[in-house]
Amino acid sequence: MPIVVALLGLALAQTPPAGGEFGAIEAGEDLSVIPGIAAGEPPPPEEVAALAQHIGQQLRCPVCQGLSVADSTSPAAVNMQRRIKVLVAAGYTEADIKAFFIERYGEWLLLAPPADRRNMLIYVGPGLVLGGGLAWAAYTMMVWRKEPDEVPLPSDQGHAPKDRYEQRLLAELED
Amino acid sequence: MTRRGAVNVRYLLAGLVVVLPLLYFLATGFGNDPHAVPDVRTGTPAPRFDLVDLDGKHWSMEELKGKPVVLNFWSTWCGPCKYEHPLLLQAAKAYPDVVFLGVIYSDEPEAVRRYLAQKGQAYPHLVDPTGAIAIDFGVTGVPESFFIDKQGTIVHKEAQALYPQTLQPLLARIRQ
Repeated sequence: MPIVVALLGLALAQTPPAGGEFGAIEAGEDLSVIPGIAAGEPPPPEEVAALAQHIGQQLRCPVCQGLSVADSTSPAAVNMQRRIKVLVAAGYTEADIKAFFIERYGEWLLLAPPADRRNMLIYVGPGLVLGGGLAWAAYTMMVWRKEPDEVPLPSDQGHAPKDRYEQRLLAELED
Repeated sequence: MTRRGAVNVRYLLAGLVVVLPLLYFLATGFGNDPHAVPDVRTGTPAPRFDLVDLDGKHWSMEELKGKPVVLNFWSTWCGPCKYEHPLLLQAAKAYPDVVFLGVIYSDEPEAVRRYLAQKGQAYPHLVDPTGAIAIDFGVTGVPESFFIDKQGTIVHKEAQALYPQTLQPLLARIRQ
């Protein structure tokens, strides 16, 4: 029991508070702006949440790593998802928002690496290996089918035994 | 007919084609921490920020140019942050030419004030209410410390608690 209490205490000590009172303190940065990139036409307000969710699902939570930003409840992921929503509402495209986060966290943040020349092996490799394996299996089967069912004995092909030993061996095989 | 014990070159080559790439990936992969987040910020100019500290004073990256800066993201609910707190206090007092700044990460100001009143305070702690600055610096969790030189370039990101043996050489680098 004391161990359970101690573990519970440790877990609570590592968990950030659910709420916050930071609303009263203003940040100096305009969250709806990506420096150097102009926002486009904002989407209809009723579509913002779904678009933000779609983008968040493609980004890796830097804390949980196995989860997407949209699915994680870690403070980092919550802040990132909130920022995505603000940027979507401001009119930034999915590509703009992804580029914004890649610049800060690296391409590692994408749950699916971009299908470009550098990552070609990731996308083409499994297909190549599978295709190669199937081709090899097909070739082997063709070779097997070409082989005769019964292997003719050397004596059937007019082979003359070299010595007495081979003569006896062939005779025994024919029996 | 293959001589008994002789090497079949075709099989050997086919085996090498399969095994060598696997060995390469295993050899390079085992040396990496699979959970380590790549650091893309080191060597780049520190992101601009304009934040207020717990006393309401404004701090911006622009004003800090020309001074070495240690930016420490932390919170009171983080165990390792508490571990490194005395070291940062000591370092801030020992190196008055270095600007030490704490950035409060996903925490409540009152909790931070209480903690600092109890454990001591030697440098300002900035409030990042939306986590925007943490995102700009590519922060993944706490504690994370950024060492910024006099030119405003991030020289190093320490993504774990600081220890005397790691802090000393990093301070020497940004004070040059």
